[in-house]
Amino acid sequence: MPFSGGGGGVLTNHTHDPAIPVDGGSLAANATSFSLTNGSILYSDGANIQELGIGNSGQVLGTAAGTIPTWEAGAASPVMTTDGQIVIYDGGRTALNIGAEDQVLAVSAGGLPNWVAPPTSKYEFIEQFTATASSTFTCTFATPIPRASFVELVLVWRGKWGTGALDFQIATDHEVPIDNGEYSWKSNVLTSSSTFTEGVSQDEYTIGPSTTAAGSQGTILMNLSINELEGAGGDGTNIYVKWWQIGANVVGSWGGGRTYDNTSTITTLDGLYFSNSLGNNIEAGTTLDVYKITS
Amino acid sequence: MKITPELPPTEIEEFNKKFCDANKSYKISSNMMGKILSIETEDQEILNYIKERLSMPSRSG
Repeated sequence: MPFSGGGGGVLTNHTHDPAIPVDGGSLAANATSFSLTNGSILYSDGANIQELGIGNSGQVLGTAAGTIPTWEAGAASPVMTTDGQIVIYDGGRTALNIGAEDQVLAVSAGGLPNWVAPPTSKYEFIEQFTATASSTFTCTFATPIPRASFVELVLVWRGKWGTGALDFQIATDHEVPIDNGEYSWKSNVLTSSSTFTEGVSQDEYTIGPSTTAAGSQGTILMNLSINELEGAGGDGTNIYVKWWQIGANVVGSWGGGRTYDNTSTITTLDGLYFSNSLGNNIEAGTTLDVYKITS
Repeated sequence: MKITPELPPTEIEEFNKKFCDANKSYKISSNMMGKILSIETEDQEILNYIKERLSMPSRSG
């Protein structure tokens, strides 16, 4: 029922519907007054209008209580502006720029993430050589290996050396390769003959036992080091090698020995030379992988 | 108690005792019993030793 004019009657229920005459008209902005604090907003609790005071800076309107609106902590403002950045906390949210290529994420002395160069490996691949069908397999390093740059070379032979024994020589910057009776070694051939063999003042190491072509197939693991403090040709001239060989045809052997550069201290290792003692072919596709271990 | 029997020296032991540090050049093979199977050398002293002591022909020299 609309407002009825006249006469001190009771104010009847009304809706302020402007379409209804004498219904109070629309409530006008900046004219309708509530007894509210500055910035408050109104909401219904299902029965009455309630006041919600203004929130704090950064708060957003939510429904934390489930049924009524409340002011809640707002979503985080973005701190990242550049591709690759990540967010860390350093007294507050902050962006950490992406590191350089190949860097890894570490922890600084101050306990914060930071990008650093990866730790240097002590084990480094140097070069792989592949043999052609020839009685010799000469592996000359693309870059000679400085003596002072390693404590050990690891050599992995995989293939077949043919009927005969596999001999091995080392080339330095002075002797290409070392020969002249400067190799002394001892090895033990297992499973085929249980024969011990040793060489004194030979022109090469014999690292693969003399056997048939079938028996020569296998893997030979070798370790090579140079003693800095002694040498038959002066300090830094002795080269020590040990080898362990196992094949697919019940031939296995191990051994080790010493050779030396008889001129002066070795500056570089320049190559590794393999040959068949009877002049038969080392099988094409045989490989030698060379690794370097540093201190 | 550890007992170390006194065994007679093997052929390879006797050979090495005489020639290992004698600035010689040779290649020698032996079996697990210490019997010398072959020697490759051109050293005349070793060749004479082989003939006198081992009655074994050398493969070179």
